[in-house]
Amino acid sequence: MQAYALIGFLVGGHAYDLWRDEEHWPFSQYPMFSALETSREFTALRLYGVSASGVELPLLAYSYLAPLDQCRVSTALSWMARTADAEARFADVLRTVHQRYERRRAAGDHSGLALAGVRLYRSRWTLQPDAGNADRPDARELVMAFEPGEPGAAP
Amino acid sequence: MSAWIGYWWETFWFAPAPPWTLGFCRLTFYTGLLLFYGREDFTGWSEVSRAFWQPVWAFSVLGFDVLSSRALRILQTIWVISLALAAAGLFTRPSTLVAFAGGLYLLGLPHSFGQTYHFDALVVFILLILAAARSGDACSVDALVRAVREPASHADPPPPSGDYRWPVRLTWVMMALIFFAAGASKLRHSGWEWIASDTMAIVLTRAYYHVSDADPIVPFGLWLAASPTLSRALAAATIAIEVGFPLALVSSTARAVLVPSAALMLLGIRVLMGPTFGVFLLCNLFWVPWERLGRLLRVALRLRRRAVLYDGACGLCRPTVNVIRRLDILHNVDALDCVHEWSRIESRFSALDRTEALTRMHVVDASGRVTTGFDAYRSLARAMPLGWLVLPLLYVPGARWAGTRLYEAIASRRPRQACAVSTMPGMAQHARIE
Repeated sequence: MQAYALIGFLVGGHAYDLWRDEEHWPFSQYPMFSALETSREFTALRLYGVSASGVELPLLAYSYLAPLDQCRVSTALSWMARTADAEARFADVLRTVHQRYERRRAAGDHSGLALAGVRLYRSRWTLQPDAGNADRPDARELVMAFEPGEPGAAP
Repeated sequence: MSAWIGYWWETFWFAPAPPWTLGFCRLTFYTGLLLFYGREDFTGWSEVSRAFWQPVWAFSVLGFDVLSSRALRILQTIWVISLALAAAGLFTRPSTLVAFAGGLYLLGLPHSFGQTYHFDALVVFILLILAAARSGDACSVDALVRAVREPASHADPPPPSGDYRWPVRLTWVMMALIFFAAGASKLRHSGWEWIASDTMAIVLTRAYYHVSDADPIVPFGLWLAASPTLSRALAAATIAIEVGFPLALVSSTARAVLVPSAALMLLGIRVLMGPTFGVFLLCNLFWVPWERLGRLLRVALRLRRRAVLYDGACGLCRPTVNVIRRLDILHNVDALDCVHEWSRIESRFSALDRTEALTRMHVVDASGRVTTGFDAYRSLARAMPLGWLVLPLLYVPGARWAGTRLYEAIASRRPRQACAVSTMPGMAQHARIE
């Protein structure tokens, strides 16, 4: 009886999400990579750290963003951009990312540059067969910048 | 037809299986989780901006929120301990329940920050399944403790039962649903164009633009993307594996093809595209035909049968033999009682002396070689895969010296009603084993 109840719950929950094309984690319809891709252009919101001398460092490495990662940050920023309070959310993201980056740098978790601030860009790429432009977007637009004051200081 | 379906249904879920198959899955699964998550630090999530907070369904329903750094540290410590206890099968039911509850929270927490990844939902399901199942009946400390504490009522391991089949089969079904859902989503959202278009080529190329949680390991994906034929073939293979995966539930041939193919597909995604599926791959251990593998192992390693001769009137020997029976998952050891089965023993091993056999534990291997005392334990450990876990300890320098003395000390004090016990030094003898 216990076995049937569990089988019914797990299979039923999964079947429901599959049928309705909805997600109720840990149940899911597993929609990753299911969209039809037709364009070789894509845009993404990317974070860059800025040193005191103005050098920009793309914040891609997990060690910079942990426990976040680049994929999660970029995806989350995209949905935040569609919310009514996007500006406030971006400001909080930039502040806390800078804070955590510097804290992890001080703790020796990474050896990145000391950051005077963090910038958020909307970047656009045209896919190349050799991905040669992966680190050089075709175009980018500054969405927001955060500068707490002293270089490397936590806000 | 309905009778056949009923029979198939009953057989699929509840055909009797030996308890050690589920117990071994439990042992390896939790050990794998321990290796995977043992050093994971979840406390950082308490410092992530609330702007990311987008709780997953389970968190919304259960009212979970982000815990403080200190609370997360305590929770992750408890969780890791519960994984270790569940792996060992110590306090199995409570430890597996805590492992599920802790896993639901700690594994769901990252998915509540901005994006839901899909590599570990299956782990949560399996944690629930193992917590609900009788997963501690074999390959567990609990089973050994029961065998020692209640030697009369737990003389033999539990018999094969459907209780040890359905948890494994439910894991299969969940994995099949996951793959099928992934394939069905592609067809639902994109139709056959997902194969016929440049979708796979674009996805493969874009993976090199730092869009995933990890970057591709090799640039081979770009080479595949450059060929429309190859990338479309890859897309077709992906859909075929995903949508066809449920066939693995009903056909052993399909299982032999689809399960390794799906595992290779996930490895391929990691290598060519970046997303990581390490802990999902671990779940494949439930597909391993452990019984068949055990039989093959016995043949491949030439594991010969052994007979262990023990004093059935000894209050220490009977629990010891009960433990041996539980560790002997490949049924390589015959346990023979020198008190109640001596005539049978005598007919098989005529050279053995009953008084000697009652004095100390004897093990006779297939070549007729007799070992006693500590050496007998070494011989048994070699014969039983679960004994291999302690085998290195039995061969460290000094182990024989210390083990022999420990054995003599315990043997000289063992509780026995039938006759006096002497502690003559062990000697190698030769007998024949049938």
